[in-house]
Amino acid sequence: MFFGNLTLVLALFSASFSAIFFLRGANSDQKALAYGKKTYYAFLFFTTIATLYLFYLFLAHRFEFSYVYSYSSSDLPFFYLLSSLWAGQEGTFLLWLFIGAILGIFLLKNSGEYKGYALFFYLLVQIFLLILLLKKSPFELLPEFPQEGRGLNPLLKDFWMVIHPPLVFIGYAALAIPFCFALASLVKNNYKDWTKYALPWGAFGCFFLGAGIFVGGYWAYKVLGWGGYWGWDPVENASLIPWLFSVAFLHGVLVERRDGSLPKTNLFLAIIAFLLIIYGTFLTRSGVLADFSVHSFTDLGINLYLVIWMVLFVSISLGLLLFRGGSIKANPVNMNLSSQSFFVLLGIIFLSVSGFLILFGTSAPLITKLFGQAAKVHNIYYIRTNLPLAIFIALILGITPLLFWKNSDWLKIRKKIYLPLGLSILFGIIAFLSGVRNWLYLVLALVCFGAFFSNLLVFIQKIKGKMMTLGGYLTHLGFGILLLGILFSSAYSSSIKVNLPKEEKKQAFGFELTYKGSNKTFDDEGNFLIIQAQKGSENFVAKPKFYYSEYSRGIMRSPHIKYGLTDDLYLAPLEIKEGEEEFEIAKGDLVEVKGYKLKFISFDMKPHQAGRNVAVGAILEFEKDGIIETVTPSLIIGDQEGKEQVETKLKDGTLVYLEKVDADSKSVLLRIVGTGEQGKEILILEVSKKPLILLVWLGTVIIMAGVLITTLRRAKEIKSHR
Amino acid sequence: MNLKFIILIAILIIFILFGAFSFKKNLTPYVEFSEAKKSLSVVQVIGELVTDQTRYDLETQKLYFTLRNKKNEKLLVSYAGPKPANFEDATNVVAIGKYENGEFVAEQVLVKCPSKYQGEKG
Repeated sequence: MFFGNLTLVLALFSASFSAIFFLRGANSDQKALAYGKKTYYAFLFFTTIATLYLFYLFLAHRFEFSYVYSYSSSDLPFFYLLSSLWAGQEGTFLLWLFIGAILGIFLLKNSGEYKGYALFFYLLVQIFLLILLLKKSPFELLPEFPQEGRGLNPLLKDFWMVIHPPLVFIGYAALAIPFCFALASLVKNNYKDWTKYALPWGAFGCFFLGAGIFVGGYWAYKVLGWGGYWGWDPVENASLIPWLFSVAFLHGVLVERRDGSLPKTNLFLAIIAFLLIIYGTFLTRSGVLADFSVHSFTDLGINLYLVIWMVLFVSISLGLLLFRGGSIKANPVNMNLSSQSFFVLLGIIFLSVSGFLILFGTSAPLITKLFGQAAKVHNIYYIRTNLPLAIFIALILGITPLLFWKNSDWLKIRKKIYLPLGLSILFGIIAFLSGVRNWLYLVLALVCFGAFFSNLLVFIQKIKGKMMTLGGYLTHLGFGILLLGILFSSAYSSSIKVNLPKEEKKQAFGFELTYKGSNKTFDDEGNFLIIQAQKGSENFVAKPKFYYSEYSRGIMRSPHIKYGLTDDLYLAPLEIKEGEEEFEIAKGDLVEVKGYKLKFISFDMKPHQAGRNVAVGAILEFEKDGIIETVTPSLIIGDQEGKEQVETKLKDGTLVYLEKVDADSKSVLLRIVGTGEQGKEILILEVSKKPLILLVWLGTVIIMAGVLITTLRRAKEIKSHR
Repeated sequence: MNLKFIILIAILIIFILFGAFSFKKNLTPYVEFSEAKKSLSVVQVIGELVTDQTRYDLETQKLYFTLRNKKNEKLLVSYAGPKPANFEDATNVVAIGKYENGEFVAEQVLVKCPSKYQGEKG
């Protein structure tokens, strides 16, 4: 504890000194800047030591450390020990800090005249992370000395979940950089060059945060088993919102560079993207949404610090923007309807509107609390409001590549329009013929085809030329594919639930399914159900998971996915019903069990064998197909021999036992053992078909490739301009 | 140019109004059981799980459980999805849905656990 926290304290001291030096050196005091740099390296050193030390504690299985105990065990392989490092909140703050400290090195080298202020603000961010870490330290000791750790949550034992948090936090750490340059340029009142330094980091942050969001979605689809890749949960929205604003920022900078317009908008976008990262951290880490999210949040006692952080940064940055706003010179925006410039502006507006709508939705419990009872919004809200925006955005993506930047001559662009328009209409007709009849979905499909073909054609034309200018087209055609994938896989997915008694064949989507029982082992990997699936000559064995996990003290489920080119078959176990059932029923109540309607009429008490023993019976009525059978299972309670059960049998062989009597609540505990199919172990399996879901993943991969090209291009610009 | 600007602002205002309208319409407030039974829209209820009354029905293919609130009123809830992890450990269960034909049909079920169980996504 002492060593770990000492490194954090030393990191905090060096970061604070470094921040002061950079602030003093902001007006080109070279000596102060040199000290700032030296102390920055000290901060980097201590942060690295803290991170390595925590990792060492995991490798050495030092379970006396609460954090190590909570997220690892000695049987974990190296790869998962690495992910234990960021399995809990304290660790993710350290990861964020560590990545931030490393990225800062590049800031020391490439920040031009903004160096002092940019690094001052940047260090302020790191200082806050350090304060949070000291308040809630990963180096906390347990009062006792456990021999073994609790282990890692089985949900997190997945490759994608190992890399998801680092991707997101690289994104968060990188998006602090455009924020700091925006603040530095506001303080200096010099807006000439800040976007040159901020843009590549914006693109870099967009790349990693985007990759993190996509990987998280894929993980949810593959492991979580609720069938979707996106649930509009606050945790997910918290990373999507800043991503949307950072994408808007990248586009805003393009407009500013060419037209000299939107300088204030871009400062605002760079600032808001990072402020919303802090706000998202507050929403998801403070426990304020605990009643409204499927992810359980715990209040770590850092709420106050998070609120201070937020209030401080919001007031500094928005205050600066308001104070300087009047003196920032800007060219008027291009309102020419035939210009690319105008459509990019529209895109920025729609992206921001989408970001704000999701922000309002996610904050609903806080907003409504101001007026009374807290409430969240239904997920339909997000879909309803974003669907029209998606249509507009896809339309813009389709139109923009056809136009010229400032002004387009109809005669010149006419020819470029025919091919993509024709192809889109053709594919729209194909979509209509394949069953897309909802007009809104049809419009969305049409504009997505437009976005895809119009960008694809330009991409093909230009591929021989400058590879580096193609990032945008690639990203946009990928976005068209992604939206199409989202549309088809969600709006046209179909699903049925089948009851699979053991060793019996049942049909689903043309497949013959047979539940063969389960493979049980002590580790999480080997614990799965076995389902044989056959369709003609095609056959496979599905191994979805459904077992009791000690770690989460509950049933762990994960689906089996049969990947396909046109659709995925998604097999998710819902429940396993044993041949016998035990349940409590109160006098007068009616329940359904084993195909019967069961009513508990009354108690039947009589002395038994004239002794001191008492027989308590429950008069039960079983009804099936209009035929009523009455049975009275009983329990003989004696003071000597304990209990004795008298079983009763229904005509079909179903056995009924009385297990317990509760006189206070006038209820009994019954155990019913079924016969035939009702006596078998039955697996209830949800089988879904998700058409064209491959497009979702393909779209995300293409988008990432496009953003990567853009990032490399913008990173080169910093160096060539230096 | 001025006209276009006005149109742009108008579109923006339409979107904001549309957003505010959807927001209000799709709020799912926490209500008492008695109110949930009367409500025609999606609401949220919270209660303690009544032990030994949770069962899975093979015919309807739904999970049934009973919640009890502080006033000792009971509410039968049905849910078509998978039983959430830690369900039996839950101190309180939150169900989001609509009351139909004598049962509260939940679309989403959240469990609140006493343990210091942290978020799955870290």
